[in-house]
Amino acid sequence: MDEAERDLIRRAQGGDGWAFEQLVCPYDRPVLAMARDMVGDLADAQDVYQEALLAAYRGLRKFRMDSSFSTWLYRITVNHALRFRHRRQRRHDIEEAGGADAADQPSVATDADLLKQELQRQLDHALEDLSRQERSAFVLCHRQGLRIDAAADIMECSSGAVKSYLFRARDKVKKTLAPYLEHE
Amino acid sequence: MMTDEMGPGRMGTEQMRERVLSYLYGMLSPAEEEAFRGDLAQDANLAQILAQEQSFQQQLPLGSEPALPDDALAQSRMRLRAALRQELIPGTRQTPMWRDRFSDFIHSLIPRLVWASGGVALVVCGIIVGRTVLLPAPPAAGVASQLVDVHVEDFDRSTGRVHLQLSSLVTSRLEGDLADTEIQLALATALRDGMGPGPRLQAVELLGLETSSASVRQVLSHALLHDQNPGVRVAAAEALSSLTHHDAVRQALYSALLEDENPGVRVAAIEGLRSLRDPDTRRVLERTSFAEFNDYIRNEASRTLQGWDPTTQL
Repeated sequence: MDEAERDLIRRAQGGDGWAFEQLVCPYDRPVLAMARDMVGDLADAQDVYQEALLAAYRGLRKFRMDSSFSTWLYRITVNHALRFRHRRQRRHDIEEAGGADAADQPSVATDADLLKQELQRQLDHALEDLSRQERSAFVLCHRQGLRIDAAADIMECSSGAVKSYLFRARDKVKKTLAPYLEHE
Repeated sequence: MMTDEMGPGRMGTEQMRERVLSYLYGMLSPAEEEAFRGDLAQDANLAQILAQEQSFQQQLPLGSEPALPDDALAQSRMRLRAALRQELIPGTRQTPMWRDRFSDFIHSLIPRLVWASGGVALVVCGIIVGRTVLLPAPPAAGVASQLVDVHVEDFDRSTGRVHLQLSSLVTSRLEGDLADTEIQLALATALRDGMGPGPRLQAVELLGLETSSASVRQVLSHALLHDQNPGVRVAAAEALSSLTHHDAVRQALYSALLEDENPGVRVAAIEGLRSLRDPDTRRVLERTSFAEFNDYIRNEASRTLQGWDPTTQL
């Protein structure tokens, strides 16, 4: 962490909203992208972005500067995304119990773009079936391209555990997407 | 039997696969990576597993997160900025939702009641008079508040004379100078949200020609910050750009530059602020040069600052 970032953190800790904006500016694109991958929908991801960054702003006083700011911010994002998914799942369960029809419309891939969209949709479905840790590991390491040790810091577990979650997630995703991927 | 057949071989395959994945995710040390490449040349099974895993990797590459739409990120930043502003205002944080809704309900009810009572009164008048009335005198503030449409019939730039057609339940005409309070009041009334964007735009353009009164500047500032239509907001920003010696106008332009979701409005705001040299404007432009999402506006802010001080980096 460089001195300019420390200075921004100190100012933001003192309640300077502008300093906070400058502080998060280099990281907010990955925050939104991560949120989208975790919750599978851009509009929902924007809500997660909002919740996570406001939580970061409110909790910044507790940030001790002994770890990387980006790791701290991504951890908050992942936790908020997981909570959001949990809330959404509960709502969905309640709606289903109430008889709401949430069935997806089947789509027909007629060209490369549609196929890509379908693949993305199926990937979202595949991510739905992963455990919290598997999904986090897959999104952070595979989709966002973070290193295992960085993901381990964000997920607050060992690198070995991340590796294990990642490989399991990869197997499950591969299995779900098999009909949509070109044959090896 | 199965254990004998599959045990060691399967373990070997699993170990190979784990090694392959470690290689693909960059988890091997340089020495391990070199050893892996060496083994790859000699072990056909290892090469086959790598080919299989690479095939998946090609379909769904590392860092395969699809690009985010730029406007989604810009929109999120704007929302965050607004939320941070709320955070900084004491007592506004985390207002319970029911209170917001109740407050919205009451606020939406008041104008409806006013409109309804005004409508009833005018219907009664209409029945009594039984015809359209041409008002000889300028409308009083009470009448202006009942207007449903304001139409500019004619405007003479050389004399500043304007003819307005005012519609409520009765239609009237109003003629006067832009400096007349009644004319300004009618134009300000046209800016009310219930009227169409056309009359609102005309009203902003006309009010922008006569800005000597504080109330007109206030009306224009309000239009800049709150009108739903970006074209009206752009016109308001342009009208205010010659009035930046007024502190309230500068503040409105700062807010528009930093918070308006429409880039056209932000461009109009930065155009208005470009000629200023005070520390507050500098602060806002510095912020824009750093945090603005739109390349053009960000560069314009940097360029303006560079014009002030050649040591400022683009």
